[in-house]
Amino acid sequence: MELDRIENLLQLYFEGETSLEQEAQLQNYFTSDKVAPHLEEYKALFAAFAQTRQGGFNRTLELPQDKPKWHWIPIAASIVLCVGLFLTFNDNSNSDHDLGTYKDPEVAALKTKQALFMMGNFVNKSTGNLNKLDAFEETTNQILK
Amino acid sequence: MNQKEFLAHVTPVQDKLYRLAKRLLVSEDEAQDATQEVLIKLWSYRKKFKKLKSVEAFAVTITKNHCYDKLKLKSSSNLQLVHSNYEDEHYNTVKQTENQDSVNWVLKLMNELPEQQRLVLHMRDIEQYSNSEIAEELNLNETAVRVTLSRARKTIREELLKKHNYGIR
Repeated sequence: MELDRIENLLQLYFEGETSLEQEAQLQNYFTSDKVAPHLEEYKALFAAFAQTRQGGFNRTLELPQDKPKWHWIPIAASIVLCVGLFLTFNDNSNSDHDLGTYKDPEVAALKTKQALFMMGNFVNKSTGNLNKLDAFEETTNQILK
Repeated sequence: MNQKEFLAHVTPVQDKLYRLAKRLLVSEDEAQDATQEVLIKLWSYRKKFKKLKSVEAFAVTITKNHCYDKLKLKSSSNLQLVHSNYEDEHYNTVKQTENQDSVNWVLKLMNELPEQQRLVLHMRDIEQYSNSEIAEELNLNETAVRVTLSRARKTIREELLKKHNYGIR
């Protein structure tokens, strides 16, 4: 019997035991116009559910536009800066490497010798001047005798 | 994700979000405002959509939290919700106009339920979520959902019968 079944479902419904399909059946029954008189008071309940389901969001949505992405600018700038610095310092160090050395070992040896001789001459010249200091030594020896 | 794809995700759920917001905030205008804000919030989260199990569940959570925030704000500024807009629009959609009064009565009863019961009843009887979905959404176990649901339905039934039998018994 249809009515028995509905009454049974209604009982389960208030215990929270009905499935979604059973609730849909109740919904159908109570929104139809064949509701048994003694169940009349539940009509409003299901009518309220049905009615609430009709409401909806009715505004037009304006989504905020994406801001243009500037976050790569500082990165690019820092890269340019790094490259710039690298190039400038690299230039300097390149010129530092060019020390005016000789490629040919023999020439290099000769030039080194020449340079050492020149230095030796200077040293000899200055040590010659140091001989004059002996004069001081002599006088101090005379005084402190 | 561009606007079109985003709207394809969001359009099917936005009515549900609105109804949920309305259930919690009661006022229609505020519910519209809240839905709009929630959708814009979702737009800003759109890059995470791919990682989500369900965009809908995420949207519902955001809406719920947003409405709770609004309610908190409201109670702290000492404004009371005004339950005034029950009988509006919809007239033509309801077949039984003579029952509109009792329908409004039910709607009023629903909004007077405690928040948790209101949410569970709304999600189950209006949006027709399964108990497990509700449980997950509200961080409850399924038994608790069933009990809450039963309590909410019974409260409404009691009030409904009281009103129905008023003056008879």
